[in-house]
Amino acid sequence: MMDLRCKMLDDIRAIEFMAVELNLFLDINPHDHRALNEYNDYTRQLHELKYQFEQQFGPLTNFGYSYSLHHWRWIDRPWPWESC
Amino acid sequence: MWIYEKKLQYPVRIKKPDARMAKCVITQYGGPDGELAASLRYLSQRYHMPIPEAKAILNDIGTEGSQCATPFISQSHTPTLSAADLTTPQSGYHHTRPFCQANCYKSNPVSPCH
Repeated sequence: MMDLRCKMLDDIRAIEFMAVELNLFLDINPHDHRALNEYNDYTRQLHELKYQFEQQFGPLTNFGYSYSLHHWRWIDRPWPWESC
Repeated sequence: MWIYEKKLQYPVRIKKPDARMAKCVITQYGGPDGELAASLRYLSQRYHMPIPEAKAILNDIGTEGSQCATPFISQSHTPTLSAADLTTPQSGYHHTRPFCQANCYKSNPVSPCH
């Protein structure tokens, strides 16, 4: 169970890395269409992966950015400094 | 303005806790040339930046700096250390207080976030 959680987080981090770097590149090259397409492609993947993760392991964000279905899962462990 | 994500941007596993390294890393985070200061500088500069591209970059790298894993790396170096570990001269922890030393990674290489 923990292995699956870490694996899913690793997949999210890999895609998120691409999204962050493309974001910074696009800030100073806003008319680069290839980068823009790649950014949108990774963003789509990231949304999907985070949705899958949150369905299984609870919300990644709070303050109204993620649902907490059934019960309040925000207080559940692990916090980032307690596991992968 | 910002939202918290309950995950690390990059996973960190410390195999061997080391008080000197903890001091170095906490300095990279909150010290005079640390990540916190840099990130607050970017976020202040953005208000006066006239160029749209640069305004966006300042906003985004200022934001990213706050996601930095340095506080986590620093705490990961300390949990199993005893009081003696932190006070013996060899530990390097008691000479100067954490946060008070600039650019320690030059003599004690550690990769800063950016």
